[in-house]
Parts: sequence; C-alpha cells; structure tokens
Amino acid sequence: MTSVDPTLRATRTTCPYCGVGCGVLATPDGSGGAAISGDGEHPANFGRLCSKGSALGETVALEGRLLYPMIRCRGLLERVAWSDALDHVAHRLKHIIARDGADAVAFYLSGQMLTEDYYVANKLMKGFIGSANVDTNSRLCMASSVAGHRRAFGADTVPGCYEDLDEADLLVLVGSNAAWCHPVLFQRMLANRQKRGARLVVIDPRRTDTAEDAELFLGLKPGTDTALFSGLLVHLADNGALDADYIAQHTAGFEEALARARQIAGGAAATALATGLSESDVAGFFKMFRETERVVTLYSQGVNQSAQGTDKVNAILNCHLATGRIGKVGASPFSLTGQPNAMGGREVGGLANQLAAHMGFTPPDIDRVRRFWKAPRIATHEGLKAVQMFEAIARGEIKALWVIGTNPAVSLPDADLAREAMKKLELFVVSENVRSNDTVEAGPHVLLPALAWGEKSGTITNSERRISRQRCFLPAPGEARPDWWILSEVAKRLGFAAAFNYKSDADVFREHAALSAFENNGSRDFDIGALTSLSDDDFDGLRPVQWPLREDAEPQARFFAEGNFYANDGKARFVAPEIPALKSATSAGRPLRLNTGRIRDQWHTMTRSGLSPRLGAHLPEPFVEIHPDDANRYGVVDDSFARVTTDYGQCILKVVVSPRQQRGMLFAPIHWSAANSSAARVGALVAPFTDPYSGQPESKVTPASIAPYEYVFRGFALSRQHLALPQNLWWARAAIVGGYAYLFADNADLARWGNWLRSCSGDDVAEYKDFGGGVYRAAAFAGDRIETCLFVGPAHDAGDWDVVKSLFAAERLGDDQRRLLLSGRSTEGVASTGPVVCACFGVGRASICDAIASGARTAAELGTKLKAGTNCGSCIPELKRLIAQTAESAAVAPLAAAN
Amino acid sequence: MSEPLVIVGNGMAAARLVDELVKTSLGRYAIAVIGEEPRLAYNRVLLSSVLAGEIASPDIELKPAHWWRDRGVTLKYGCRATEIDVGRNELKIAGDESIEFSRLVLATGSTPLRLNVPGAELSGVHTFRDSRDVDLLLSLAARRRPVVVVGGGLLGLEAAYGLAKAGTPVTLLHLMDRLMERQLDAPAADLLKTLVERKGIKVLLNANTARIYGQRHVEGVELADGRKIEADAVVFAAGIRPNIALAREAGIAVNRGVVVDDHLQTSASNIFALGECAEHRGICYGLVEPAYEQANVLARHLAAREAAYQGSVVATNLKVSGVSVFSAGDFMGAEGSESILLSDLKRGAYKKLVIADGKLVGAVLIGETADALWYLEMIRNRRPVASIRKDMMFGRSLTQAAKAA
Repeated sequence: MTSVDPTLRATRTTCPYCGVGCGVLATPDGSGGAAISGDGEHPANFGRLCSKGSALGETVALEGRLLYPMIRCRGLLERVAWSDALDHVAHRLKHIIARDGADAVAFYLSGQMLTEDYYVANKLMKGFIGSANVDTNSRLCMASSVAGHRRAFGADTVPGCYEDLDEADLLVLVGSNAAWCHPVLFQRMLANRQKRGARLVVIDPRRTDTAEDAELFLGLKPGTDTALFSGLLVHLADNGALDADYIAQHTAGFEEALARARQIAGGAAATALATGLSESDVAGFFKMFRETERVVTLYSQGVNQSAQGTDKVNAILNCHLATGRIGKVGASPFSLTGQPNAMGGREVGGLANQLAAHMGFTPPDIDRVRRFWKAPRIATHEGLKAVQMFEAIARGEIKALWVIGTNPAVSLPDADLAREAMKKLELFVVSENVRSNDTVEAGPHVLLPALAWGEKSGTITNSERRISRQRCFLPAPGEARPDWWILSEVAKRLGFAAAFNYKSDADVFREHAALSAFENNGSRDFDIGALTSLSDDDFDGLRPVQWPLREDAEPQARFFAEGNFYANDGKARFVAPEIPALKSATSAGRPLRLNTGRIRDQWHTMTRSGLSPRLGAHLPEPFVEIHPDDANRYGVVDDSFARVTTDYGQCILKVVVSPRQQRGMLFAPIHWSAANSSAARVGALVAPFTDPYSGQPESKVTPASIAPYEYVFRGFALSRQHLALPQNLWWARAAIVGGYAYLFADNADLARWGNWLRSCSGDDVAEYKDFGGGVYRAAAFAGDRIETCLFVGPAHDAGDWDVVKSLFAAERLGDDQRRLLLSGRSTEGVASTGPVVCACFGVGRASICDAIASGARTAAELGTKLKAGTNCGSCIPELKRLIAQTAESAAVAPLAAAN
Repeated sequence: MSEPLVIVGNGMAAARLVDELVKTSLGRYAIAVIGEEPRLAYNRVLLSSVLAGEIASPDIELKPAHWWRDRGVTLKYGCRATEIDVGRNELKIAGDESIEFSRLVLATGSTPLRLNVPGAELSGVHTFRDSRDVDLLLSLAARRRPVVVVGGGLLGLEAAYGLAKAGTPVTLLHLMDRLMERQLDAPAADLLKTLVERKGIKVLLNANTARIYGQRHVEGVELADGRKIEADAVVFAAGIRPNIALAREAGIAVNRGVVVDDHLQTSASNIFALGECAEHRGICYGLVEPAYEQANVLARHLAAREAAYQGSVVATNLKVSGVSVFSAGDFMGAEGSESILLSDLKRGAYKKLVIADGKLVGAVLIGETADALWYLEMIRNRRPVASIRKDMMFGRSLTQAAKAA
C-alpha cells in the first residue's frame, strides 16, 4: 500500500484514534481501500504516524458495516427506509417525553464523533428536548481532567501545547503509557531527550514501555499520586522554589492547599511511606522538579480513572501554579486526551455537567445559550453522568437512550449490568458503523447507519486545542449518513425544524463558532469567533488551527503565563485534595487489584483497529499480567489461562507473568468484547465507583482474585469468514491477512473438530489426525486457496500459527505448500525431491531430472548414479520418458534463447 | 575345476542370483540356467507397462545375451526340467539328456490360479503372468472389446490398468469389500479405487464370480448375486500357486512352497530354493524384493560366506495402475497400537502410520510415497519415534529440518 505515491490525489485528514490528532494523508486505491501516510505539514505529527494510524488503510473495507436503517420487528431487525426509521425514533421520543418528562431520555455519545455531530446532539438534548442527560464515553477517559481544570482555572483549559514537549527540560509522565497510547507525542519527547537532553520521569504502578527510556521510574502504589504531588508541593515550599509573585497575583487558596499537602505528605520520608517508593527516589524526583524551570507534567488515565481523579489532577496543577510553571514555553501541566475528539466534545459541552461552548449551568450561561439557540425549554441543571445514567436506565428511570458511535456494553464499568440495563429500555436507538458489537447485540430497537472515518466530514480538536479537519476521501456507502444529519432529521420531526435546518457540516461549524464568541469578550477561554464566517470553501480548506481564535485578537498558543484565569476574580484556585484513599478495599477473597488499560496496537473495543491484520499480530489474545511472586502464590503459569474474578464479573484470560507488574496488582487490556472473544469482557470486572466531581469511574484498582484455569487442548482456526465455533470453548478473534484467526483453548474431545469443520466447509478437506498425540489438524480448500485451516493440539504444543498464517495469506498454494501445510512447519529449507519415480529407492523426479541435466543419458546411468530403477525396475519406462523429455527441452531451449 | 551349479528357472530371482554369484564367487561354479519361457530373463514387473504400451517387450530384458555369455553361464531357455534325481545329483530335461549338478537351485516361480468355476475352460479366458500372456492380452486389447479382470489384488489391478491404458473397456471384479485388502486399510483402498476409476476402470467390489458363460467363447461373467457383466474375455488374476511339483516329486519337503531354511537350503542338502516357489518360515513371498534378498543371501552362502536369511518385512512399494502405493508391517493397527493419519483426497494422498510401544510398526501410503523407505527403515530397525512423532508424517526432510531448527 505504501507503493502509492501519497501526494497523488491524497486527501488531508486526521487520524480517528487517540487525542494526539495526527494529520493523515489518505489516497483512495480505487477499490475501497486507501494508502495512508503521515501529513508532513500537520503540526501534531509532522508526518509521523504510529502503528495504529499507519494501518488505517486496512480498516476501511465495508465488511461488517451497517449500511441501512433497521427497526426491530417481532424481535428481528429489519431494513427500513430512512424516513420510517426517523419517524419512528421521533414518534417514540415524543411519546416518552410527553409521558415521563425530558429526563426520561438520554443520549450517550462518543469522543470519536466529530465536533459538528456533537454540537447538534448537545443542542437537541439540552436546548430542545430540555434535559442535560447527554453524556459521553469521554466520561471514562478525561472527565477528571475537565473537573480539575475547571476547579483550578475556572474553565476547562489546556494551558500548554505540543511545542512545550520539544522545549521542556523535564518531562514528568503520570499514569500515562504514552509509548503505547500516544506514540507520536512520545517520540517527540524522546527526540527532545536526545537533542536537548530533556529528562523523563515516569510515575506509574506498572513499568510500561514508557518507563524504558526514563531517567527515573517511580512505581508507586496505586492511588497515591496525590501523596506524591502533595509531598512535592511541600518540598517546593520548604526549599524556596515557589513563585511567590505568581501565587500572590494570580491565585487563591495556596495556604490551605499547602497545609493539606503537609498533612498528606509532609516531606520526602512521609511521601515515600505514603507511596511505597524509596525515599531516595522521591527525593531525586523532588530535586529534579525543583531545579528544572522548564517542566511539563503529562497525565492521562492513570490519574483520571480514579474515584479521586479530580483531586489528583489538582494536586499536579497545584505544583505548577505554585512555581508559576504554566503556559510558559516548555513549562506546563498537560492532560493527554485519549480520544480524537474528546476536546471537541468538551468544546460543544457534550458532557452532562456542561451546557455548551465552555459554559455551565449558571443562570447567566443558561440564559445566554437559550437566547442564542432560541431554545424553547433549555436544560437548567446538570444531567446524569455516564455511570449514573446507566444506573438510572437499570432502575427504569431513563426509558429512552440513543447511543452514538460508542460501545458502552463493553466499555462501561460493571459492563454486564450496563448491558442488561439497556435491554430494559422502551426505546433504544444506536447510531453505528458496524452491524455487530456488544451494544448492537444488547437489543436496540433502531439501528441507524452512520458515516465512518474516511466518509464523514467535519472537525476534531486534539490535546493541544488544535482544530483540524477530518475530510472524506471515500464515498458514502449504502445509506449511511452523517450523524449531524440524522440528529437534525429527528429534531425536525420533533418540531424543531427552524433550529436544525443545517445544510452541511460547515453550517453547523459556523454556528458552533458563533456560539463560542457569543457575548464572550474574553470572558470564556473557548472562543473561535474568527471562524464564524468561514465560507464553505474556507471550511473545506481549513488548516489546523489552535484556539482561542478570537475575532479581533492575536492568536495565542498558551494560557495563564500571566494569570487571567476564568474565575470571576481572574485567579486560579489551589485545591486542597482529600487524603488519598481508594474507594474499594482488598480482602481475603479479593486479595489483588485489577488495573485496566490499552495495548499498543488496539483501540477501544476493536471495531476499527480489530480489522487490521498488522495490528492483530501484536497481542492477539486477551491477557492478564501478573508479577512472578503473585503468579507463584496463586498458582498461575505464564502462557496458561486464569480466571480473574471481581465482585462484578469474571473473565478467563491468558496469563502473562511479568516483573513489570507490581506485586498485588493485575493488569488486563480493555479491548476485547463478546464480539471477538468468549470470556474477556474486562469492563464487566470493573467497579462502578466514581469520582464525586468528575463522575469518572475508578477503573484501575478493582479488588480481584485470580485462579488457574486449565485447558487440555489449544489451537487456532484461520478462516475467510467469521466462524461459529463449537460450544464451551475459550476463544479470541484477530484479523489476519485474508481473513480471521481464532485462537482457542478447549477441554472437549478432539473428535468433535472433524465434524465441526465438515459442517462449515466444502468437500475438499485435508486432515491430519494423531488422536493419541492429542492432535487434530485440518484444512478446507476452495480451488488452490485455503478456506479454513484448523490446528488443535496439546496445550503445550498446539502448533505454530505464523507459518500457517503466511500460507493462508496466499491466493494460491503450491503443491508442496499444500502437502506440508498441516505440518505447521516452515517449508523453507525442506528439500523436495518431487514426486517419487523409483519407489524401491525413494528417488524423486527432481533428483532424476537433476541427474539427467548433469549428463545421465540412459536408465542404466541413472541407476548407477541414483540406484533408481535397479531393484524392481518398474520405473524404467518413466526414467526413459524423463530422459527423452529433458533431451527435448534441451533441444528447444537454444531456439527459444535465439528468439 | 568349477563345480556345476544348476538353476531351474529363468526369472528375476534366477537372474539376480547369477548376478550376485558372479560377484561373490567368480570361477567357483560352472553355472547353467534352465528356463521354461522361450526368451531371456525379463523384468516381470514391467509386463503391465508392456501391456499399457509404455515400453516395448524386448526392452524389459534384465540382461542382454552377451551379459550371460560373458559370465560363462550356460543358458538353456525354452527347456522344461522334468525330474530331479537327488541321489545321483542329476536333473532331467524334457527331450534332452540329464545334466549333473553339485548344487541345484530351484527358482521355478509360480503359476496363476484359475478359478474353479463353470466356464473357466472357455476360449477367451486368460491369465496374466508371463510374456506370452501379455502377447495374448495385447491382441485382445487391440479389439477394444470389453474385458473382465477377476482379482483386485496387485496383479489384477496391473492387468486392468494395462488393458485400460491400451484402450480396452475393463471391469475389475474383486471378491472382497476393498481392493488390495492384504496391503491396504479401508480408507486407502477407497482412495485407490477412486484413483483407479479415474483411469477408466470400472471396479465392482464384493463381486463373487459364479460362472463364465458363453457358447465356446466367453460372452460374459455372472456373479453369485445374479449380476451379469458382458465381456469378450476374462483375465484371471486372483492369486498364484508356487511351482513345487518338481521338488515334491523328488521327495524334497514341500508345504505350500518348497520348504527352505535360513540358508535357503531345502531338505536336500545340496538343493536350494528361492523366490516365489520357496517357503521360508511358513511364508511364500510373492514380491520381487524378498526374492532379491534371498538371492543375496544364497549367493553368499554358496560362496561359503556367513549369511542367513531372516525373512523379509514385507513391503509393497510400487505403482499400482499409475498410483504410488506403499504398505508395510502392521498397517491395520493391532489392538493397543495408535494410528496417525493424513489424508488429502483431492491430492490423491492418504498416509497412515501405526505406532505401538513408541515404535513405528506399520504404514500405508497412497499417492505420496517419497518417504516410504524411511518409514520402512524405521519399521525394520524398531527405533523409538517419540521425538519425531509430531513431524514424521510429513517426511524425512521436514523432520530433519524441524530437528535442526
């Protein structure tokens, strides 16, 4: 795919994965796919892409896509016309609102929606339906950062920018595996380290790949970040490192915060005690921070996903405010967002505790937005945040839910409960790209086909407040439509035509920009008034721009170097955090804590990244990581299986024993679901405890137990299509070149596999059976191509899928490849002598032809050389024939050469 | 002076024995070969190739005339030995004087069985054994009239293949429920049947020939279940009988074959037997390889070297009707054994390896026989195979590569 010249017909767009917001050049290949390369001109990545971004071209095929609206009739989803689907949604919504009130309906949105889609959804719910029950999967991602920002700055403002990562002398990563989750930014940090000697400190209970390059790794106990940063604040105060002027002029609440910090961790020793770190490491970190003016503290889910996440954020912000290291070149706190448009969602106000355009539920804000929108019944109080929203659904208080572009049945904490809750809804609408995922399987009444990445058009905002266009480069497939259009059509049917008469994404964007500037006058950080009057063409050609972009002001890359916070008094607030404590306690039955997170090459619930063979190859199976001492203690073994149980659910996962894992902690990735695995819905294990300010769940410390789970057999099945595997099987699916791989483990009799394969394949089947050795292998073919290939073997030795994968990828298999396929061995270096000619001495045709080529001219000569034909002699006619053929082709060859 | 050594029979065993003898004891014996067939010794295995037109009849001679001459062998073919006078060490030859021997070797081979059914004597009923049979069958084939071959063993399949290849419509009748039941298990036999049928041969299993009907000439075959197959000729290929009459009449111990000990010596101390006419440890072999092994042992013994024949692990390893077939040892798998199977019918391949007590004890291979001799060696030397069990099915080359890796 890289062979396509990226400058040719390339569309400039942005990546749909993490919050770095990399520029992407996409060149359609004319057959539904696209060549992908990094956009050298995009200031987020300057041409770089990570593994996920690079593999985007492998994820745009239409297989598995939802292409038509569907309505459930008598239990089954049936294709309907758009008008019927939209009428139905509007009719049911109207009915439920009239009967039970606006708060009986809710929208659950996604940080992967474009800003324009987000804006329309938020406006419809908060301005016109009249409820603030709009929340988003960003709640699970960076809500604590939003809450922390708002408490400290008076607004949800990211003060710094990516350039600071190039200019800093100290980069402190807290709860962030940037090497895997924000790889392009991490490479930028490493480049700074190499070029300018910047030092890296990594603070994380897990020794991740991010820690590999760090000067200092602080493997603190989970939930003790606040203690570490409280200790730091005390250290800074006690060692004359404060910026007294900045504190005096631009902040409030310092003394209370410092007093609380002393209470939590009054020095390096106390900090060490509270965090489980060594005192020298703590002191080393404090000294580095104190002595380095240019320090950027980057934080992510390890900070946010906590029942005290907001306090953690503020403990970090406190240290930057106290040293005045904020909004300066190379000096700032920096929240790394996990989704491509989490920031855009925050800008439109697409969270239940925001109203719109960085305005909240204060009377002046409500009034202002009401007037701007000409909203008939604007929401006047916060709505339910994600976890509470689904609890309200479970209680039957929310009766209608519209999920757009996210998979809450997988990603919410206590996900089994959430999945069950959705089944109780009176109206359950899902706008989706895919025909099947755990949420789609949870029984929606209406499925609405939305445009996907590559087809949709609009804007996203990355972690440094940079708005970039996502442009379409593929035609809209089937009847898929933009989310803003779908939402607007429902709004019109609800009687709000005048307010939702959008003609294009540009139309929506202009209104969004206008609202940001409406009666702003510098009173709100988010202002892109300068973009209010973009023409359609300007919008289409919009280069990546950083906000604020005020109508009559110079652009600014950073905030708060000179104060000017967004509280009424213009001052920042120090926040005195609570004493650090986890919401849940371990016990004899749940002696461990389960941490969850991402892996390098997958994204969320894999509905996109799971389509890429390249990405599937990295870590193809759901796993649980455990420290060797714990593995010993609980009797689990590397590469075997274990059952992980919490009070909420259980999973069976592959075991990875690693000293990088802290004792007492487990780690399991979040990506697998019922759609691609049998027992790895890790969200179902996670406790639903939430932060009191942000509502973000504590996803990383659920008390858990682990026990070995034995499987006698393991194996894999490679197939062109999705397979319905036999019952009672552990399995996980990964994309491979040419199809899908199912990795599985089984305790049932081997004999069942032969029948199973025959039930899902044609007649052309090759089989290898060594039941005594615990082995069954088979392949079904269509012509010269493998259709399905199955390997089952004893747990310790089930066969090598790499070799088989490469043969599966081939469009046609040579005879030797097919002959050796079921060996699972590489055929490289395995000499083939061709079909046997002399059976008595096992002499193959290739050997005979070689001997003829080197001079043998009679059967007797061949006999002398190879013994061929010297026993029973029955091959002598064939030997003679081969000699004649070779002589013939030798006679023809010079002629051919002469031509 | 050289001792007179007389060989009765001029087939493959005899030719090999001479070849070995002149290597091991040149000059010790004055060798005379008395053969009934009116031509030089030829490769009987290739008769079906001659029938199929793949090779010309003169080309199947094992050794040219000058080869025999150069080695001082007195060659009398077209002569029938009628009697052995054990006491006088003389062999009588029909229409000729007796010849004296100090050692006598019986290599008289075998005769095809003719089924004892009504009509077996009709004209048009043939056997498939020697060069003369082939000449007859070739003239039959030239008429392109339907032929029934009775017998689904090796010989019958070869005859059917040769005829079919020569353009004759052939129906093969086999009494048993599968072809080559002495060499193949059911799946292997099924596959062989499929492959043989692809060559245009119609195969009827469980076909018990009740009678051959016709006025004077064959008109067809009727089976015990009443089915009738019209045919212009019938070829019997339903087994062989060792030629033991000469020995029996001389008072030499015989059973099914001429009984020999580990030196291939009969009950008469200076008389030996080998090949299809011999019975060693109760077994009459019908294949060329044991005969060659016997020839080797006997030649060494006659050269007064240490040599003993321990019997052969019978392996069938050849092309049957153009299909490679290998079978050896306990291919059915006795109780307590385990089988490893590989089948790929589209490729015409079926392989079965039988393991008992951690050793390879039997194998059947159809279509893919490149590693037959490797398996045979393992069966013969009874080496434990646990370390290569998971790769051995895929051949020596792959197994060795996997080991090295």
